[in-house]
Amino acid sequence: MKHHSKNIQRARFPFAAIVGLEAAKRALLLLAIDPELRGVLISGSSGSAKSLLARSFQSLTDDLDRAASRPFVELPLNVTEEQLLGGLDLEATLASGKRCVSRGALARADGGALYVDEVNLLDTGAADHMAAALEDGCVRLEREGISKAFPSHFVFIGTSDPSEGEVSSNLRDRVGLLIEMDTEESASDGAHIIERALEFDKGPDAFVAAWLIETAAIKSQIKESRERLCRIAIGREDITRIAQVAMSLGVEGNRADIFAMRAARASAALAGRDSIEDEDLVLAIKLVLLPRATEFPPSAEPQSRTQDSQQADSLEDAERGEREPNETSASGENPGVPAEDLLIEAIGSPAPDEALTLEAGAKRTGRKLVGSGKRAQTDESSRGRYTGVLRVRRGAARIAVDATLRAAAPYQVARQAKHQSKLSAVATTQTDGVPMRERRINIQPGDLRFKRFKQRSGALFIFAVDASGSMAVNRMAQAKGAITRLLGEAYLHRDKVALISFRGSKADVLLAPTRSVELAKRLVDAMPSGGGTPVSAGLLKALDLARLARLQKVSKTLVVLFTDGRANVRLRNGARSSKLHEELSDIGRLLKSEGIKSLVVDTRSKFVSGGEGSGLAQTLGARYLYLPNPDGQRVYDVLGMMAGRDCGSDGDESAML
Amino acid sequence: MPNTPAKSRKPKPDDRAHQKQQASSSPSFAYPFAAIVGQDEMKLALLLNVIDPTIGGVIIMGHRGTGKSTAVRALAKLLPPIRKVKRCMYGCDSKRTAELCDDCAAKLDGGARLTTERAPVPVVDLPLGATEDRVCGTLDIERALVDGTKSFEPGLLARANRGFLYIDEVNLLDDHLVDVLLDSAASGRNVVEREGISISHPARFVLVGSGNPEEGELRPQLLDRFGLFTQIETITDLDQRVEIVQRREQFERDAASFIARWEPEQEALRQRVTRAKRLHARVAIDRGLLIRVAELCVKLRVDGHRGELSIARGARALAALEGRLKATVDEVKRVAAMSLRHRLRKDPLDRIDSGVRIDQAVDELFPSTSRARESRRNQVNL
Repeated sequence: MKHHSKNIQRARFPFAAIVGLEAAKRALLLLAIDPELRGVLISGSSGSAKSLLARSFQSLTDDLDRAASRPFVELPLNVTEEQLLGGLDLEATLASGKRCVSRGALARADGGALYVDEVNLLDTGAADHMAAALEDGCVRLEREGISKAFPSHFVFIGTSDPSEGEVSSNLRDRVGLLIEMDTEESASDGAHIIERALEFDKGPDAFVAAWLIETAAIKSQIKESRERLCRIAIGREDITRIAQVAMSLGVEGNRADIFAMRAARASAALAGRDSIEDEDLVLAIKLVLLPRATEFPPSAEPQSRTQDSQQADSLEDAERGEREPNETSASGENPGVPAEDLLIEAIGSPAPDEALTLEAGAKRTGRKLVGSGKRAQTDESSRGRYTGVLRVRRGAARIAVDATLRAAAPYQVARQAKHQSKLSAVATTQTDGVPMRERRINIQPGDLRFKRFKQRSGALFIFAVDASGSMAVNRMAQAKGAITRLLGEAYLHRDKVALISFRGSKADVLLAPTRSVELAKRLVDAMPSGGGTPVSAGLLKALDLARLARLQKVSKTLVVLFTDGRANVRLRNGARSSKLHEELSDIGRLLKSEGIKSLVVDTRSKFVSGGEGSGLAQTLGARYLYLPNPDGQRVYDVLGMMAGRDCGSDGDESAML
Repeated sequence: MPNTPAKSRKPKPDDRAHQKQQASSSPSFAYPFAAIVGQDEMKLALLLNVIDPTIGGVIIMGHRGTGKSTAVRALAKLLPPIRKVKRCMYGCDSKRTAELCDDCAAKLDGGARLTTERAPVPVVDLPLGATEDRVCGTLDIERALVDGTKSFEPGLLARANRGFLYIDEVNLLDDHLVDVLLDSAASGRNVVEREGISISHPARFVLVGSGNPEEGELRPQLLDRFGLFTQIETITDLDQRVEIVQRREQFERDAASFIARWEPEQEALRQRVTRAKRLHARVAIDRGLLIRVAELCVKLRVDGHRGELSIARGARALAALEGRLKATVDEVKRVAAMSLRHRLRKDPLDRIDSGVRIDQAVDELFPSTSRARESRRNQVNL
């Protein structure tokens, strides 16, 4: 109960004063009208005023109804599991002798909103808890001797910068509206908004007052729309069209269909109508279905897709996704505009064009990884999962209240008696009822127990595979063998694997860090090959991934480069070969400075090898492994050694206190 | 005395002003099982486990938002009540004396009679972030503080005894909890040795897990514990998809009347399950057929005997569900895929969907008659 949202009384930047950002604003309005949409995720580059927008949501929801101030809980990224879920309240428990529970952030957000800035940097554990609470509408607490369920019905607002990694797919699935902000649009709007933000900072109250009328107008519109909501009937044809579009986009599961239906209804309500029109469906498709697309209907035949084309590998999908399906065949089956046309309209409408970026990881080159300064430093001794207790305090470990109480409990009667006799000997003034002291718990230093945490993340292995030339198949097989073994034991070490292939002049992230054997399998098989050897591009990609992983608290990263050692494509054209060498050694230095270990696996056969592979390893400061024949086991063994685990030992338990 | 005595520690949602919002989450407003559209294999696997809990549970893996947890949570309302020993915190079955908890056994030894009462079958959620002390049970702090006595406060495993233990996102479960589960799932008892407490109590439950394979892998030992494995995919039938959205919308608009509208079908299903449970003990399966099931497992190189057992038990439960007294080739074929799918994996990069291989082997060993094919097509008409 210590973390009461004190910011309730503070003046908030009024939603009405935000310029532009129409798609995101529309999404927040829909959410305010129908909280069952569960949330809005706004992704956009930094400086696009998305955080300001998200926070301004508060100005819309408070005093909408009688419950004067609805909670608006803002979560820091370094939130611990206990802060999120709740736990034993130390002070209250000690004072009363009864088990007192403190509510976590999820429970405190009940009835209001939960906001996370840079939600993509949240660790997966926390994201999973949020996803579960969004789904169940309650937090089930089964920890520290507490068994309790708290209502936790909130709307979730998250912002993220796509260049810093993906939002947990679990959380993304449970949030109704997904906005990807147009960079150009938001940049120009951003300038305006920042001006206003500065003005707001100078005199928040005056600023809010200046926007009072607009704010009130929006609020009353929301209120009216809410009342209208239950009157709007949703016809079977409308649902059919939503489902058709969802299927043609390969949207997973049924949640999205339901969200789209709700979004369409809220949109109609916002427009003051009692029936759903095509434009509502278009908006719903844009905000709900398109961002969840896993495939796009082939432009030539938008209607007749076979099962097989759904299985088409994601690379083709990505390429296809860049083209807009611009040819349509008329369909006379449905009343109103056919679903395909709605989809095309949704794709064509300007705002969330970015939603078409499918292979997100693969397209972002040259991203900067400058922290925005909002990220708090995490205390490693209190991160991860609370897995047990220690008698000795290590680092800044927190006291394990439950275990401490359990340790102290058996002696309470004896200690109380002792204490009581001492008390009564000293003074007998406090006589009416039970003296306060008696209820207190007597804890002695020997009773103290401390929490032991375990980081869930194991190591990240980044495989950069040279997919150029004719021997690519061989290297692929090796990489695959090693990945097979690593993922086969992923459940043991909590390792993740990422895969980068480089050929021609560029490098692509084929597989973002994952533990999933299924994903890996699908992608490794579909790896394209041929062309030049841009080793630097491949390594830079690896570096990007490694930095992201560190932001997400992965403890160790190893880069494994599979190549024949003949780097021949530079990052920038027009330079001589010596430049290539410089480029590589620069990258080597970067890797080292980031504490990333690397391994070069030389796959060139002995007869033609001119020592390029070992030279490359030297340049990079990497370990070198000569391996002309496919031998995944060798690679795996060497990697195990580099990651600091002997076979069978629990090297990466990383019991972080 | 604090207000929460040990035995009635059920999750009580703080329902101050949230009755309406609770609609979708509180158990009394669970979405009716009978109203779940499609996903027949999942529904069948769950029902088979209700009929014969020794099948060993089911794991449901697949796409997000396909009704996995909805189905499991809906199951509670279908279960015929059981008789349990009064005031026993483990819900002991007085007829199975070998599995009594220490208290009940002591009473019985002392010559007392165990009085029983009707009680719903527990369906217990093991939420993400649960700590080991709450799963296994541990020293009761309050009792210790107030009376100075060391007493055991049962955990989720105790609560789940004779019922279902549901783990959503089972592949995200912490390793140390997986160990605990494996131990008690194997022995049917939970052994607690911690904080000066030393106790062992019955914990026989049907393990139900669900998750999305893209979130991570399951430990093979845990996977093997599950009797059945069903895979669930997004429905691609347009009508069904529309129906799902419509029903969900009706349910969210007015849960109570939606449930009331579906009550007749729910009741029919409930009765069918109750009948099947009664019938189940008498359902026979031929020795010859069992030998062929064993052959199937050998052919598919399934390790151990859990595969055969799952098929045999599944086939008997299915026969009971459909009101037959004999499990035949037909039933075997219908449960083969879900019994073996998770036991075939050798190469980690092999897709877990080995359904094709199983189907081929099944077709070779049990040549299809047209009748069998027919009944496989419309698998369960629930």
